[in-house]
Amino acid sequence: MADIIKSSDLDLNFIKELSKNEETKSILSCFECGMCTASCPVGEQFLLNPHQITRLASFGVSNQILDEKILRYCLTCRTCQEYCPQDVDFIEFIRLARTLLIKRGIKYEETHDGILTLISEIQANLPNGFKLPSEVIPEGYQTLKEGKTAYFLGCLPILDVVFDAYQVNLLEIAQNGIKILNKVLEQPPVVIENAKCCGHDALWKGHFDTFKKLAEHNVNEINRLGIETIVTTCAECYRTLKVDYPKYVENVKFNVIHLSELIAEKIKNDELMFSEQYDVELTYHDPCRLGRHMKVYSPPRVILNSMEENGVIFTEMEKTREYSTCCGVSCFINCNDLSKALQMDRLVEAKNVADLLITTCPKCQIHYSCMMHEKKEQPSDVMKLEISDLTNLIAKMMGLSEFKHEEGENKGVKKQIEEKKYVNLYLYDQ
Amino acid sequence: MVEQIQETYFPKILTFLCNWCGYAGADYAGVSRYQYPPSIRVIRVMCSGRIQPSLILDAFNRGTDGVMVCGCHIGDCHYISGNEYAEERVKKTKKILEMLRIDPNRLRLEWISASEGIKFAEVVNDFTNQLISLGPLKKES
Ligand code: SF4
Ligand code: SF4
Ligand code: FES
Repeated sequence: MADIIKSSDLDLNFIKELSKNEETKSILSCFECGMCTASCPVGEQFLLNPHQITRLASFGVSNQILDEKILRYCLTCRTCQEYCPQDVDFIEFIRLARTLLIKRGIKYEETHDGILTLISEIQANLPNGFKLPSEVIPEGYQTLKEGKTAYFLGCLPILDVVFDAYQVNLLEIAQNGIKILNKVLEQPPVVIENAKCCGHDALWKGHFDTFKKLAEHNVNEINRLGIETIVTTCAECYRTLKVDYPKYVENVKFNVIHLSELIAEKIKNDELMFSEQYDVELTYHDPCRLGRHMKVYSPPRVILNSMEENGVIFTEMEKTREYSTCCGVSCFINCNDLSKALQMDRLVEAKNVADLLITTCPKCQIHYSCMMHEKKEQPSDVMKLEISDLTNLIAKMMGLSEFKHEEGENKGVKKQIEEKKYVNLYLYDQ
Repeated sequence: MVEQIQETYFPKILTFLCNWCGYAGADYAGVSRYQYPPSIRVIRVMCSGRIQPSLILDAFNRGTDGVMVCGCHIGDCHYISGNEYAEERVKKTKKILEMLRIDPNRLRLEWISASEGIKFAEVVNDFTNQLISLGPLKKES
């Protein structure tokens, strides 16, 4: 960013655009205290200066801000907003700025050769949602076609194929979600056959049109089936369906809950007891979307604490709840050394207190597994850490499934690498 | 209406040919004057291992009706194992296409050596006919 602002740089249209919306208007109240930059994990490395961006934006200096090299660094992790005394909605501003950037035809450098953007674009342009592979519905369990409560899978089956080299086993999350809902609900859950991706990544990348198409399709589909409650196991789907759909799409009548909220509710009402014994020390990572964005902090903790009698020892990490660090990548843009450093720090932090890291966002799991995968040649203590989704843990404790990876050793990844069994999907990452 | 579409529809196939075998094979088909339909658009790459799924998906996103990847026979790749990677990637891409409700038969992987001009012409013929019977991508749902 240049230091001198010329009067010719001022762009009134940009300020008008910002003032259209209550949330982004809040940046005009910034008094440049610098708390955001001090708290930002990216600002720490001098890659991003949120306070400078807000200041320039409130002056309307759009040409210095609407720059791919600046906007892509923000993780939209919302840490800065936890500290901001003026309640500036910085992430909403970043989202709008990215949308304007895309409108100008500027594209980001994306990870994985942009395959995830393409997947959501193709879905948005085709009339029907994606086809679920038949393995999603586990043997002996049922799902309905119509009903009151539905399980929204999101992109789990597709991400499972794309990231299968990291052995994240995302399909397992979907299967376990169906198993759990079969047990805890009165009726089996509906699995929406014609759903598309929720559009979270498209929205935060600034591809607003793609998001809108996906969202409209999903809302229509959900309304058509008469669904009243949607359960998700993904933190991003949760935020998008709950906050962004009502904001940008009409006719949103359904209610959205995260699986952890449902289970925590059941535990509080003494309707659910975990039957299995599992001796493990574990810790919990708050995903930004579920934690800081949606303030769902306690349900996962209620669940983990209630497993105490079954041998599970739950310890908090040093940085937790509002102050937990981001997994380093958001919506698959801009994965760099900083992301890797954030991931490594977090994994070390987790390994210091536990052997198993539980999260509620499949994307966090992907990013951490990627880090593990990268460090496979340098065996260290951290590599022994296991990462899993809360859904899998709940299913295991209810006696519905086993963890697929061998316990103690670092999952299947190492074994597969030794046997050279898999090929990565991406070109530059053999 | 249906007839009209069939009259005007002629498939577009994006073809990635590896420099050492596929491209040479196509060249050979050309100099030997083997006939094949003008449905393919050729992009030459150094090795079929260079093709990543996002290139294939991008082609479909832009409305290509079919994508073909041609490389050397297994064991003949000039970079030793490029075509093995290609095989694995195409397999995974087909899975993704299937989930996206694009017929996986629209993506084809062929091993064509430099001397197989006739095979090249046959494959293009066959693929074009197959795509004609599948119809344009946009109509598929
Ligand atoms: S913390 Fe809030 S008020 Fe302070 S500089 Fe950042 S955006 Fe402005
Ligand atoms: S959202 Fe996160 S990455 Fe972006 S400016 Fe705020 S603290 Fe930094
Ligand atoms: S050089 Fe032909 S496939 Fe590798």
